Amino acid sequence: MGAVMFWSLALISVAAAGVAITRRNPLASALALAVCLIAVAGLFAMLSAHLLFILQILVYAGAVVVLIVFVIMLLNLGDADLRTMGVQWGRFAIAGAVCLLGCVATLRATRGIPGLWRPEPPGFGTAGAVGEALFGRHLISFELIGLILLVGILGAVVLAKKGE
Amino acid sequence: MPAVSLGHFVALSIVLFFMGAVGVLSRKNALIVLMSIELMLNAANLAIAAFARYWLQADGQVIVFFVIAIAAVEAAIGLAILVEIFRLRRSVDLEAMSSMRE
Repeated sequence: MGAVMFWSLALISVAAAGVAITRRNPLASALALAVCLIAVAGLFAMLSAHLLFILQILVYAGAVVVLIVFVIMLLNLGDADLRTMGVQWGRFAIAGAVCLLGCVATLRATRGIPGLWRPEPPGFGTAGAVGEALFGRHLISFELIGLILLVGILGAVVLAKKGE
Repeated sequence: MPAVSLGHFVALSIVLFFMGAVGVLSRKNALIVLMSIELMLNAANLAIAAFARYWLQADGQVIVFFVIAIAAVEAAIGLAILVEIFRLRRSVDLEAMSSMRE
């Protein structure tokens, strides 16, 4: 049961990633990206990371993909603009070959990873358990993330302002 | 308990990461390159979450939380810069953005 779930989610995410990097139309890519992100959210749920499952769907598949789709609509690229931006198969083959080498090398290097899971303590991965670590040991990092978000908002406002 | 081993999750995250890398290295459309970067960040998140489950440490999940926040900021800023470049050049083709090279 669990193995079937893992393999189907893995297949969906890899297929969606493959679609996302080979479409000429960025809107099709964005929708495939959303499918891939939701499949990874399912894998988070399998790893009993309940909070991450919700965050992945809300922030990634929700906010980030909607932002990308919004920008695609805003730019409104026509067929004439997209004609030169399809997949260049020569370049794609070179990048694919290099990355396949890296992929195989990394897979070989991680082959010895043990696979025995220990039973999880009650409450592992819930908002309570993650929040305890977040507001305890990682409080300063959390505050810094808040600062980065503020800088990001300011940066986006400055960039979006009409230039003089 | 997950039915497949830690190695399965790590292997899947490696495959997804390199698929994102192919997108970053080979595409000319800046929007798709940004999406491929999101794909790579997401693959790294999957590996971190798998190791967090393996070691039963909530800290790993906190790191994933941070990466998700950073990825959201990166997408917002990246897209704002992209819209600004599109205003100037009427194109999102990365080949057209080579003025720093000349």
